[in-house]
Amino acid sequence: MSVARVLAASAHLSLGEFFSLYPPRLYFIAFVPRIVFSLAFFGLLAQFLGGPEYLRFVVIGNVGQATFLGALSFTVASVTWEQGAGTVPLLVASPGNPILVFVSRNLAMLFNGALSASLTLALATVVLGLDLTVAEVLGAAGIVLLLSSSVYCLGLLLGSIVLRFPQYRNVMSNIAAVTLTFLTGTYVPVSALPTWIQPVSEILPVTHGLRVLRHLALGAPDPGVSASLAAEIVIGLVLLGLAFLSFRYFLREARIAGTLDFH
Amino acid sequence: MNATLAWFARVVGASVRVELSKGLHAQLILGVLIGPVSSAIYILMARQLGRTDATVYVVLAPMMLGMWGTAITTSGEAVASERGEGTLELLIAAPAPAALVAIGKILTTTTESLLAVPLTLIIAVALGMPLAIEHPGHFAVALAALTLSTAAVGLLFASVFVLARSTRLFQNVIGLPLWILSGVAFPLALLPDSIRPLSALVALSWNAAVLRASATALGPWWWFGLGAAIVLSVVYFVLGARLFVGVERRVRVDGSLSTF
Repeated sequence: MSVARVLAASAHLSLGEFFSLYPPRLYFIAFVPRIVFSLAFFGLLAQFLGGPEYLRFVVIGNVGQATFLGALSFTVASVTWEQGAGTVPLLVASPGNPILVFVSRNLAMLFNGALSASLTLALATVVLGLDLTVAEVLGAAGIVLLLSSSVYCLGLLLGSIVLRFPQYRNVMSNIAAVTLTFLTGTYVPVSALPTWIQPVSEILPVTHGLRVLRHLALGAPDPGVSASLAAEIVIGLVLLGLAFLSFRYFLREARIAGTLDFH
Repeated sequence: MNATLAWFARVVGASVRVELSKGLHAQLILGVLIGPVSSAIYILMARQLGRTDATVYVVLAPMMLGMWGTAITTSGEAVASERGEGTLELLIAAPAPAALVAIGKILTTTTESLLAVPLTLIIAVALGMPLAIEHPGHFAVALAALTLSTAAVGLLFASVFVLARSTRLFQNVIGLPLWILSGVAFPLALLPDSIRPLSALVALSWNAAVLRASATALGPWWWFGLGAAIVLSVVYFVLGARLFVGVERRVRVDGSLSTF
């Protein structure tokens, strides 16, 4: 079976799974309000702590956090849903590459992350009264898609790890989301973090993309747009590569031990 | 009457034992760890702006949010996991009131989530924004009231979740409006005038006010605030229990439990 057919079938499955989890009506009742309330909560906290200038910083940071809400937790969890359905041995037995299925069976979550972040950004432009040109809006949309993609790659890597401990999938995704919020400059500038931890921020997804987004939306100091975008892309690709290796290692070890569906 | 109470106590006790037997399960790790780690974010937000005067907000808010958040998540997960394992029908069909089983689970996780309190205070010290508690006795009483409201809100949501198929989706969205209305992380004065009166109906807003006052300066309203938190908790508790019993009766009469 060709790579393209496997990817297309998995992506199709992912969409079906997403709409069974969130039918459009439920999405607007249960997910969109979460985005709005998250922006309101952190916006009020920022207004209280630092006034209008800090509010601008935090509201754009909330766009980055929306990708965690939309992409990370579902991606980590849904990797283990395959295991819960007892279909991992069937995937391994099939002629297609099971790793391709794992990597692409959550693609809807990537787009959910991008959609969540786009909604937050749209609200942010209203809250902050931003006056963006069409080119800036398109640029921001591209950055949002990039942020969601790199977060998705992190979700895949974490998902491949929690295949061994599926009961801890929510713990893993929540801790990852809090860590990203903490270290990527979402609400606290990286420069304000303890010096020893700042290098960690530079190798995490979102840090570089968020800098570019702030530059674009708020006119924050130029972080070196090309270099920052390249860094965000490279970090995403490295995470994707690690996820591939981790899935392959899990499948090989589990086949040897005969524990494909016993974790 | 005494025999009934003893039976109820045995049911709650059995539920507590089952919950404790799970040990350091995923839900507990989440509840205990996420609050203190989140507090590091809130503390750094204030510290980098030199807002040491906001210590009482940024240290206590994530702790309280962690406790209420754990209660709401636990009540949703308890119902969702019983439903997923196909035991919700058995639980409802059993002669023991299902509400008591829920109370046992929620009491256990609420008590366990108190572990977040010392962890949060330690993180505040480590990040250079220690919280000096001026009235430790009052603080302990306020913490007990917070524990009560946490258990009560857990029971209230558990009863609602029995009727909801997508509990996990709703439990994720319910928290944030409550955190905003409670003014747990910022003064209520920042809320628009039109919604501010609603805060008085959220026990957490009173819990937050009396906890903050216990750490800083007690006002003449402290006992009133404590009383309001306790009264609202009792109202939640009674409402949750009645709702649970009503839902239980309804689904037993019309056999509709598995249709939700």
